[in-house]
Amino acid sequence: MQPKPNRIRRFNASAYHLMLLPAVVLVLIYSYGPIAGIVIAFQDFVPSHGWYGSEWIGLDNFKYVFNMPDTMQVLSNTLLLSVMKMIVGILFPLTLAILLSEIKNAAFKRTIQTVVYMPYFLSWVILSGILIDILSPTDGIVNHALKLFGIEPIYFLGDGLWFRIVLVASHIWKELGFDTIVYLAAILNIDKSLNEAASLDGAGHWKQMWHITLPGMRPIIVLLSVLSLGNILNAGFDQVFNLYSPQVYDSADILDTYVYRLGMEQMQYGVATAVGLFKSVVSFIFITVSYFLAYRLANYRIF
Amino acid sequence: MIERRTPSRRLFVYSNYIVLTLFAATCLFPILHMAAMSVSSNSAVTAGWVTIWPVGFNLDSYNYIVKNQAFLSSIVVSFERLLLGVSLSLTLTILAAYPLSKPNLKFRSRSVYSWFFVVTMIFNGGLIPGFMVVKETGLMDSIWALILPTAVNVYNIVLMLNFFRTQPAELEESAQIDGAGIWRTLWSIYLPISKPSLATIALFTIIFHWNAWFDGLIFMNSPSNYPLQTYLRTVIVSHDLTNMSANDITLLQNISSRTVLAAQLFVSMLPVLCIYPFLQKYFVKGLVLGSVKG
Amino acid sequence: MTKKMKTTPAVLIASVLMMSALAACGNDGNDATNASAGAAPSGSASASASSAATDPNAKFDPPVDVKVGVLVNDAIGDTFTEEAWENSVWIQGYRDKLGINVKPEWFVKGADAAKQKVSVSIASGSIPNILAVTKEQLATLSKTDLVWDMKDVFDKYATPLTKEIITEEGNAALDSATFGGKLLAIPGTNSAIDGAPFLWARQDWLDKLNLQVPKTTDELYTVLKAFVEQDPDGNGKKDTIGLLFNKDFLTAGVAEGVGLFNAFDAYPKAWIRDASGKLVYGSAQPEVKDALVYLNKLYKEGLIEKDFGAKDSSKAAEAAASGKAGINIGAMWNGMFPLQQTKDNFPDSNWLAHPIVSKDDQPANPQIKLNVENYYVVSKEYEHPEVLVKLINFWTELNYGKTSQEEFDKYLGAPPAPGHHYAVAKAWKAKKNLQAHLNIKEAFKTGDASKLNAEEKGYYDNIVKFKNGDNANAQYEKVFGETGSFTSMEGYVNNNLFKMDEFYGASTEAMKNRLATIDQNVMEYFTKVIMGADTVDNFDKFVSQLNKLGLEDVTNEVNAWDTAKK
Repeated sequence: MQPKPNRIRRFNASAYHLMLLPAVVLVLIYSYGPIAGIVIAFQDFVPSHGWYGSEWIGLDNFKYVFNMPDTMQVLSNTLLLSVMKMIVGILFPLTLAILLSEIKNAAFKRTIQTVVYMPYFLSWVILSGILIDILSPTDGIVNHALKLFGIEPIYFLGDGLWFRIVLVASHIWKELGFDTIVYLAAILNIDKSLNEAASLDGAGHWKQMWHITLPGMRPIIVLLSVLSLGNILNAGFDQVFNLYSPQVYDSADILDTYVYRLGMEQMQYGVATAVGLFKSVVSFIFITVSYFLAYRLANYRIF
Repeated sequence: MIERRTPSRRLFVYSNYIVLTLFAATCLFPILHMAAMSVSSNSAVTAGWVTIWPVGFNLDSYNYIVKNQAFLSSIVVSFERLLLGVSLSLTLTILAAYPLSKPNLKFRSRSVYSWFFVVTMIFNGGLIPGFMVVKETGLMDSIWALILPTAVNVYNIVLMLNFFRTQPAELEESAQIDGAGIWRTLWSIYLPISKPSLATIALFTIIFHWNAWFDGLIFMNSPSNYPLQTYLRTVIVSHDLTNMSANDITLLQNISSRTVLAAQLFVSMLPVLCIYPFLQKYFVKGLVLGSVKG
Repeated sequence: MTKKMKTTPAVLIASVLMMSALAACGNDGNDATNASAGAAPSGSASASASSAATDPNAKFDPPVDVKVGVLVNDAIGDTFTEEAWENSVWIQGYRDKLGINVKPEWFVKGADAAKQKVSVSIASGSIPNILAVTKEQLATLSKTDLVWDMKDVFDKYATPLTKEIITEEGNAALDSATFGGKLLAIPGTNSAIDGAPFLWARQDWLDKLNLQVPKTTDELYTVLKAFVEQDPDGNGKKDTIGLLFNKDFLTAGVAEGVGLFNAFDAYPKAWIRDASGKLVYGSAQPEVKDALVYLNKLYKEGLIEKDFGAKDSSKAAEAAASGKAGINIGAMWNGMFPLQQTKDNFPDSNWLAHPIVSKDDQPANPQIKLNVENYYVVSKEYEHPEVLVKLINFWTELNYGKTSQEEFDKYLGAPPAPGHHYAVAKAWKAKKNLQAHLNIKEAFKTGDASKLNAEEKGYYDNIVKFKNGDNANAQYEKVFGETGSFTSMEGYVNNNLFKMDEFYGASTEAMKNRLATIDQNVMEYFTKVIMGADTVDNFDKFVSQLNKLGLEDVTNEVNAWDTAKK
C-alpha cells in the first residue's frame, strides 16, 4: 500500500496548482502589476517619460511629504477618526447584541436585525446622497426639525467638528448591524448553565450580564479590537470622499483622500505614490502586530 | 430555565423592546424619508413638510427617471456587471480556496501561494499604476475593466478556505477511496455542503459590484457605459458651470430636483434591499464561521 | 474644486467666476478691442490674400480625423447622449466646412469626473489628439513632451478675428499658456470684466424712503440703516435686512463682500503691486483693516444677518427672493439670478445695478482676473496641430464674424440648436455681453433691431416682452437693457477702473500646497473680526501667521514668476 498515497499526492498537487492558476494569473497582472508601479515613489515621475525615463530621486518625495504642514494634520485626522470609529464600533454593536440577546420573541428579534443590517448593504454614494439631503442647512429634514425646537440651523457637513461627528455617526449607522452578528453569536456560545446557576443563586439579570455575559465575550472583544488595529490608517475613503468639501479639509482630510487629491488633482504622482507606500508599510506593521497579538491572546490564525 | 418576573425585570424587558424599536426606526428613517420624498410634490419637499409620509403624492419623478436614458442604461450596465462579476468571482474563490484549505502535508506549495495572496491584501500600487495596467491589457471602456481587476478577493478566499477546513478530513478520504478525483470531490462533495459560505460570498460580491462607483469613472470612456453608482455620483456631486449665458440659466432650472434625486436613490437601493433579507440566514452563519468581515 | 455638495444655482454661477484666472494690464489700449463684431476681415478671400501660402480657412482635402476628449458640462448632463453629440450640427459643420472629422476618444460627465479623467490620461501619457485642460493640468503637461508648441501654428493659422479675441484683454491669456517660450496651449478665453462686482439696490425702496443711490461707504451705511429700521417693505414689521452677505464673502458672485473691500482699496485674494512694484497678496495688506472695521460695524448694528456664517451664497440670496433685502453686492448676472426671483414674488420690486461704492469721492476699482475657461492642447502624436486652430477659427467666425442669422441660429440659437456646450473649442469675446448691451441700447434708441445678432436679438425680444408687462423677462432688462447692469459696466470700462489680478500663471509649487490653507485662515480671521470675536489690532500677528503658513514662499514664487515674465 505504500506507493499508492504517493501517487495520489503527486496527482493531487498538480490538480491543486491547476485550480489556483486562474486566480494566480489575475492577481499577478492586476495586483502585482500595479505594485511594481510603486517605484515611482522614488522618482520625479513625468508622465510621458514613463517608469524608465523618469529621474530617480531617492527619498526626496518622502522628505517633501513630511515637510508639508498638511501631512501631520492629515495623519492625525486619520488616526483620530479611525480610533473614534473603532471605539464606538465596539461599544454600539456590543450593546445592541446584548439587548438583542435579551429578546425572547424570535420574530421581533429577526425584524430588528433585518432593519439594522439594511444600511450596510448600501453604497456610500447612496448614503452620502441621503445624508447630504437630510443634513442640508437650508432644507434638510434634520434642520427643519431643529428649527421646531428653536435651534439655529447647523451646517453639519460644512463645520469641521460636526463633520467628524457625522462621519462617526454615519459609520455606525452603516456598520452597526453587521458588527453585531459576531457578538450575538458569541453570546449564544456562552454556557447557559452558568446563567442558570447564577439565577438559582439569586443573581439578577444585571449581575449576570456583568459577571457572566461580558466576561464570556471578552475573547471575541479582544480579538476584534486587535484585528481592527490593522485598519488604523483606513479611516474610510468612500465615506469621506463622498461627503467632504474644501471647507472641511482641515478636519476631514484623511490619508486616502489626501493621496487622491495629490495624485488626481495636483498631479504629483510621485508624491502621491510615496504617501500610499508609507501607508502600506505602516499598515503592514500594524497588521503583523495585530495578528501576532491575536494569535497570542486569542489563538486566532488567519490561515 | 426559570424566568423570574420581578417588576424591575419587566420594566427592563419593555424598555428593551422600546429602545430597540426606536433604534431600528432611526436606522430606517432616512431611507423611508427618501422614499417619501420621491413620491411627493416638489413644493412640499422644499417646504420641509415631508417626513416619512408622502405629501402631494405624485409619480412625476418616476415618470421622469424612466425616460432618463443615462439612468436606465447605467442600470443595465450594473446588472451585466453583477452577472459576470459574481459568477467569475465565485468560481475563482472556490477554485483557489479549496487547495489552500489542504494541510501543508498534502499540498506543499500551500504557504507559498498563501503569502502570494496575502501580500496583495496589504500592498497595492494605487490608482495610476492600476490604471496603466488596465489600459495596457486592453480593457479600457469594456465591462471587463470592472470585473477582472477585482475578480480575486482574498478575503473571500480566506472565508471560504476557513469553511472548507472545518469539514472533517474523512469526507475527502472516503470520496477518494470511492475513486473520485479531486475535481469531483470538490464538485459533488464539498460544494453542496458549502451553501452558507457560498451564499455569504455571493452576497458580498453582489454588494461589491452593485455599490462600486470609482472604477466606472476611471475606466469607462463614455457615460453610457457607466454603472449605476458611477452615474449616481455624477448627479449627486456639485454642478459646475464653466460659462454663463442666458441659455444656461434656463438649463439650470432643468437640473434634477430633489425629488428626482430621491427617486433615483431609492430605485438604486431596491435590488439590494430585496435580496439581503433572504440571504440573512446564510450570511449570519457564514460570517460567524469565517469570522472575517468582507 | 471637488465640492461634494449638490450646490444650488447661485453657487454654480459663482463658480464660473471662481474659475477665472487673472488678466494682465488693466489698460484697454489695445486698439483691437473696440472692434465691433464683423470688423475683422476673416472671409477666406482676404485671409488667403494676406498669406498666400497657408489659407487659415482652407478645407482639408482629403478630410482628416481628430480624436477629442469630450467634457460634458453639467448644464446639459441630464439630456446629453453620445449620439446627439456625434450627429450634432457642430460635428457636421466641422466635417462639411473644414474637412475635419471630429471623433470622441472618450466622454466624461461632470466637472469632478472630468478632472479625474484628464488627470489619469495625462499620468498614463496618452491624451486624445485635442483636449481641454485646466491651468493646473497644463502646468503638469509643461513638464512632459506630450503636447505641441502651438506658437508657429497659431501665428500661421489663426484668423485675425481669432487673434483679436484671444488677445482682447492683453497678452495675459497667451502668456498664461506659455512655458519656457513655448505656447503649449491655445487659451479658450472668457470675459474677465464680466466677473466684476456691482452694487445692486432696490430702487423702489430707495424711492419710498426718499434716499439716493449710495456712492460712498458712508452713504451706503445710511441706506442700510434706513432699510433695516424704516420698514421699506411697509408690512409694519422690522423684518428687513440690510446687506446680503454670505459665509464665502471673498468669492465673487452673489451676496459677496469683495466689492466692499474694493471700496477701501483692498483686493483680497488678488495679487497686486505695492509701492515698490513687487507683487503682494491682497488679503494680507493693511487696507483690508478698514473694510473689516466697516463690516464689523454693519454686523454689530444688525445690518448684516447675524447668521451669515451659516449661509452659502444661494441661501443668503433667498432673502432677496423673499423681499427682505435691499442691497446686494454681486456680478452683472445677478439681475437674472437670483434677483429675478424678487420680481417673480414682488412685481413692484425694482433691482438696479450701480457701480460699487467708494470710501471717498474717487471711484472704487472693482477687482477682476484673467478668465481662461479652458486651455486647449494638441497631442504631439497628432500630425495636424492646425486642426485645433481651425476649430477655434470656426467658432469665432460663427459667433463674431460675418455670419448669417440662420447660420448662427443653427448652432447657437434656441433649441433644437445644440448650443455652445457642443462646440469642441471656443474662445469668448471678453466684451461680448457689453457689446450686446450697447447694441441693444442703440436698437431701442433708433428703433431698428435688424443690426442685432441672433443672441442679441433674443435678449432684445425678451426686453420688449418685459416692457409689455411680462415680468418673467425683467431679468434681461436688468442685465442687458438700457437700465441694466452693463450700463455700469460701460462706466467701469470707459473710466478704466478695473483692478486686474496681476498673477495669471499656473499655480506655483508653494501655491498648490499652501494657498488653500492660507485662504482658509484668511476667511477665519476675517469672519471673526466681522463678528467681533477678534479685532484688527491683531492684524500684524495675523499676517505673520500667514507668512509662517507659507505666504512668504508663495509671494517669492509669484515674484520670481513676475521677473521671469519680463
